[in-house]
Formats: sequence, C-alpha cells, structure tokens
Amino acid sequence: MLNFRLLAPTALIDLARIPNLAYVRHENGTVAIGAMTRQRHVENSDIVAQQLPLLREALGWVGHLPTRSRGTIGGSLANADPSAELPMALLALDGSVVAAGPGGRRTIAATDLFNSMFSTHLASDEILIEVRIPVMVPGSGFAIEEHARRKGDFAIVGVAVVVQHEGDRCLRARIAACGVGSVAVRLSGAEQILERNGLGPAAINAAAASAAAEIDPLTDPNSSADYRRHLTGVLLGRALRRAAGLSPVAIH
Amino acid sequence: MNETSPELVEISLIVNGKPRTGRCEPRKLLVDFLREDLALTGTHVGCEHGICGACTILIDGEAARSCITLSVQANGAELVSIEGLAQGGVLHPLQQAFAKFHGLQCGFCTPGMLITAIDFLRVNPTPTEEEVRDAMSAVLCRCTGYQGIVAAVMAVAHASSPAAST
Repeated sequence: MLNFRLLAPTALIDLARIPNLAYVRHENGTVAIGAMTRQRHVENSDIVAQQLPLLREALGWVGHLPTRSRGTIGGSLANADPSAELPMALLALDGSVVAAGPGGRRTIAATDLFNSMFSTHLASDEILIEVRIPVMVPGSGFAIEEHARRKGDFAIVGVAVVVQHEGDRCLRARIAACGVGSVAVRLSGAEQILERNGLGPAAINAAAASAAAEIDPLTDPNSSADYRRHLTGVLLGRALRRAAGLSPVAIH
Repeated sequence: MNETSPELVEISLIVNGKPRTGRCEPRKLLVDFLREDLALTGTHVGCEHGICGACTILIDGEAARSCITLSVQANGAELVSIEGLAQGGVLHPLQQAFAKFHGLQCGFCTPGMLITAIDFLRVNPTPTEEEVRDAMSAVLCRCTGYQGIVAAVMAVAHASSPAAST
C-alpha cells in the first residue's frame, strides 16, 4: 500500500513484533490462526494441511515464496484486495475473524468482513487479531481454480469450492470467487443449485451458468466484465468437476 | 510537510555474518538501507513494489523482498545478500551453475534469482523442472533468459541429490 502510494500514513505500528499474534492451533473443531502468522508458516502447518486443505491450496496461489515469507494471513484479509485468494478462501470455508479494539473483542463472519475494494468493516480503532475457520468435514471435495496473467499474480478471476457429497448428492456446497467485483463474494445461487440437484455434470453446468449471472464484475485494463463473467463460469465448472471427483487432476 | 528533520532510528542487524549498524529515517526501505547506508549495492532495486524480485534477500534464512520491507522491520534480523554467497573467494555452487549454464545476461535480476533459488532448494532439494519454473517465476528476467536459469537450478539440485553419483 505504501509502495503503491495508495497510503501515506504519518505513523505505522509494526504488529510483527508481537509474538502472541503468530500461531496455528486446533481448538475443538476450529482452526485458530493468529493474524500475524506468516503465509508461509500457514502453508507449511500440519494442522492446516490436515484440517483445512483448501486453505493450503489457496496459499499456493498467493504471490510467491519470497512474498509469503513476510506476508501474513491477517494482513491479506485486512487488505481486502478483491482479487486476492485468502478472502475468497475464508468465504468458502465459512471462516470468521476476531477484531480487538478499545471496546473489547468481536467476531466478524467472512460474509460481513469485506466492505469494498481495499476496505473492510473493521472500525478505525480495531485490529484484526485472529482468523477462525471450522475444520473441513473429512472427505469433503474441494478445489481452487484461477486465471492470472502470470503465476503468482493477483487473480483476474479465481474460484474456490468446498462440497460435502454422498455419491451424486450434494449435502452442502460453498462457493466463493475473487476478481469478480469490488470484494470477494459467495455465490449462493450456484450453491443452492448444487444442494438441490447434486453434483452431476448437468447440475455443475447449471451452477457454472448461474455463477456467471450472479456476479457484477468490473472492467479494467486487464479484462472486461464480460471476459470475467465468462471465466467465472469456466473456472467454476473445472473446480466443481475436480471437487466432485469427476476430474481429479489439478490444472495449474 | 513537516520542515523539521525526521527522527533517525538506530538499526543493528547481522548482514552476511557481520554485525552492522546504521541510522536512518523510519520510512527507509531495507533495500535502500543496504545499498546506501551499508554500501551493499549487489541487491538491486527494480519495480519497488514487490513484483520483480530483483531485491530479494534472505531475512532470517527466508527469501523476502527488501523493497517492501522497512529497514526498521529488519532491526535485529540476520540478512544474507548476494555479497554473502561466495565463501573465501569461491563462488556458491548456484553462482557457478549460473555461469556455466548462461543463467545471466544483463545480470540485473541475478541477485534475486540466486537468493530465491537458494531458499527454494533448501525447502525442496529435489524439485522437478516444473517446480523450478514455478519457484523461479518469483523473479522476473527482462532478458527472458529463463531457460539458462532453470537449467542452472536443476543442475545444482541434481548435483546435490543422492542420485547424482549414478
């Protein structure tokens, strides 16, 4: 933000000097991650690998190893870049964050966190201190698909899916996307189609078509709104086929 | 603008094994501190916003962008820059491989490429070529000399893997 000259603060406080803000813990069905935990540490965490494989996959898309060495999970979420993968992953995983301020602590669900481009619903006297994500149900299908101009770039469009299924029946679907508007979003219309109609090829196609209609993407010099809408459908189709086990190989 | 001279901050850290100290403005980027205050100009300034990777150094053993790190954030840290790779006048194996496989042309990205490769090979000592390409995409080469860079990193990985003697 500073190097891009988007911000010129008169004072900065380095939270990285607070060791108690960097940890990954498994607490009764929830993974709690300190806001200042380095992305690289989260990516290499055994708890994350076992309980939140989607988050681990998401981190592989976040920048590069040298940026993940310093970048933190809380920093990325509070930055609220609409094309970033971590806000999308938090939405797909039904996660939340804990904010702390003079009035105490409060929990903010992922769906209530993002306000607009580079802006969250954190108050100006609050900081994000913890990320809380319920463990994924064992056997859940999941996938992230993304298109960017170069590996490691912010996404032009990215989608993340988590599905709990029994055969073709879909008990629960969570679908989130980034790069498709001013904030990362859940695609609840597409989720409902799957929960109603299962995970067969026809339902997946219908969900992908619904997703493309559900979003309101921006046009920028990288890509038009129409292109982003098209990509969303294509990427969601791929992600769902992979999550449903219809196409097991990740295409990165 | 505030007309009074900004407060200078004392910084002490270890660079390439040697304790170093300096005084700088709190806003100073680590890469500028290395180049201007410590006269270590091997670390290059490219894009200045964390994309190109020319400024990559090791901070406490991990590759990181020194252009999006403030020098005050590195207070107390242990850094390795390109100047710290050769030991006793002998080039680091990766430096030797870059020379052998033409892994550099203009050389501007080379410090960042080498540091990135060192960290990557430490994490993944026996990578596939695809993994090397993925990892080295963290640094941009405007000469587009990626073929030689990938070949050099693969050669070092093979040379240090147990299967290398066969």
